[in-house]
Amino acid sequence: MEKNNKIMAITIGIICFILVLTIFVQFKTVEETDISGIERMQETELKEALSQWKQKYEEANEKLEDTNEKIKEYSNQEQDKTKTSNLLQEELKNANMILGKTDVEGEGIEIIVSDGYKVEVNGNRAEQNVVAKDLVNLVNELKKAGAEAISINDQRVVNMTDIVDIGNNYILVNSQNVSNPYTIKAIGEKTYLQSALGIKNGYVDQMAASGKNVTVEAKRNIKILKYEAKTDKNKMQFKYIKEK
Amino acid sequence: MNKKNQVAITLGLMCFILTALIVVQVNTINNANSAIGQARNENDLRDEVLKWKEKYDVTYSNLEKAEKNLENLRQNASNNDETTKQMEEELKTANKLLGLTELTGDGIVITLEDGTDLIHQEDLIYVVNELKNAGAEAISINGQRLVSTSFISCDGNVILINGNKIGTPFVVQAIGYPSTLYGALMRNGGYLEKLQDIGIKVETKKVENIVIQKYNGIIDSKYMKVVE
Amino acid sequence: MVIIAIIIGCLVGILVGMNTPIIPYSMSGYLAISIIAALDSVFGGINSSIKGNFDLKIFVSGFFVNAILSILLTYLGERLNVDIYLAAIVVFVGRMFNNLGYIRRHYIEKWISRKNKEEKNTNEKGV
Repeated sequence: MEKNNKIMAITIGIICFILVLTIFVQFKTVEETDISGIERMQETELKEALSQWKQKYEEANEKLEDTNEKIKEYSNQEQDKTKTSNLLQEELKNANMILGKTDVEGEGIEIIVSDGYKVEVNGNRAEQNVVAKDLVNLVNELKKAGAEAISINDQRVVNMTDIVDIGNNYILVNSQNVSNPYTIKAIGEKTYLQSALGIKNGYVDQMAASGKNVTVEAKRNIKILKYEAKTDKNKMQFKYIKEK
Repeated sequence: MNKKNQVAITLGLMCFILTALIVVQVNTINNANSAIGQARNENDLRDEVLKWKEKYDVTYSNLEKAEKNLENLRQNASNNDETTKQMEEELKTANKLLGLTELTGDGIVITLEDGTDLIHQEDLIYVVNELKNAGAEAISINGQRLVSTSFISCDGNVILINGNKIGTPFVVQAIGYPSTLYGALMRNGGYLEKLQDIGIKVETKKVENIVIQKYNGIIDSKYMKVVE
Repeated sequence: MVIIAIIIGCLVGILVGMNTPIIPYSMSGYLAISIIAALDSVFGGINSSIKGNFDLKIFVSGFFVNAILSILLTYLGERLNVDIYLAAIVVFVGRMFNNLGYIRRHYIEKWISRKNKEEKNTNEKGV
């Protein structure tokens, strides 16, 4: 009898444990999964979200495979100094290329943006100078169209590149003067880049409407110079990041 | 005996019919799901979205593990040699500059909220440009890290950063020297002042120890090559 | 002793449950239905222990088999495009209410009869 009682207590205790455990796991799952966004979506939005997640998954998967490949290479060559150094060199080269520290080439487009004028109602010509915002927007449009490297009058556009007006005639890119006409080079899929700028009411249309001149030319090979910091502010470095 | 046989045959037949029906139904459903353009109700779509999101989450956490693993391997592999060690350090710095790591530092946080006027994509683009001009070292908007390929676009009335939808209020975090950033952004005639004038709610604060997320996408380079 | 076991089981369950990673959301539907099934067995167990015919084997087997069966049925329903889990919920929750009703009635009757006795006692003393 005493033994039976013990068994009973232990089994019931275990059952309580399992039940409460699963209940709490369920609570946490429901609480932490943010489906409120999805819950309110309509069919078209859902389809969009679906293709977005699929794409993100594929990108992540591709990168995962890439990383695993690298892991394999490193672990195979753990003993070999020169091969390790070669692998590092390769990775470093790629990272520096994306950062903008090397000259790069590839297919792309060349855009020339220049000052123009608008004829007003009274017949006067109103000068329309290219301003920094025109170039900022252009850079954004180019990145949206998948440009991998961009330069403005041979000033390489990197992540922290700023484009600001100085007076009426100069624009500063990376704190360096550039002036009219502005030649913007971008490497990427040339037909896509060209059509992205040329769509109706797109960048070219907007610039033309404001009286400024834009020409876009697709090129098989474009060379873009590396980033060169002339001032301390523009050096690619972190001064205010704290190490963790 | 005869009766037993009859029962067995009947049972067998019924089982056959039941399983056949189940298999047919399962196959039909499977086909209906894979056919493109089939009218699917929203609930199915929702499930599908969740499923892909989960798949992405799993892959992404695997990716993070693999990246840590790779970093350790690199470190181990280059530990014994000065030149490789130096390269490994350089690579780490490069990855930080590319936005592939989480960063902490002092800086400012700008919160922009729709007021009597709505915030447009250009507003964010110009604010970001001003931050860069003021020497910001890392920027994120609503948790989306800005890297060299980042763009801000709009699709109907939603704003996308790196292809991810974000909505008002927009929280722009920037690491840099706080006073410089604050002074530059809040100056008279600055873009934030213009936004405030047209009726957008702007709040700027100097904040210590801002944490800026790493970029959770992939920086592609298919078309460019290093000039040898 | 049984009560101590229940309390310990529940406390440890909460602690561990708080610290386990969450499961994929699409799986949580199955977990939910199995929780309902398990809860149903628990109330059934309480009810039968009140009636005095509690059997540990039946209770334990019901707890697990019902949970697993309900998951399988839900899965089958998903494949067949029928919301079987709705039926399972109706049955389980219906039974839970029945059992709860029995338990409630049992305790209320106990309470009332005790009260009656006390009243009788005080009345007798008063007289």
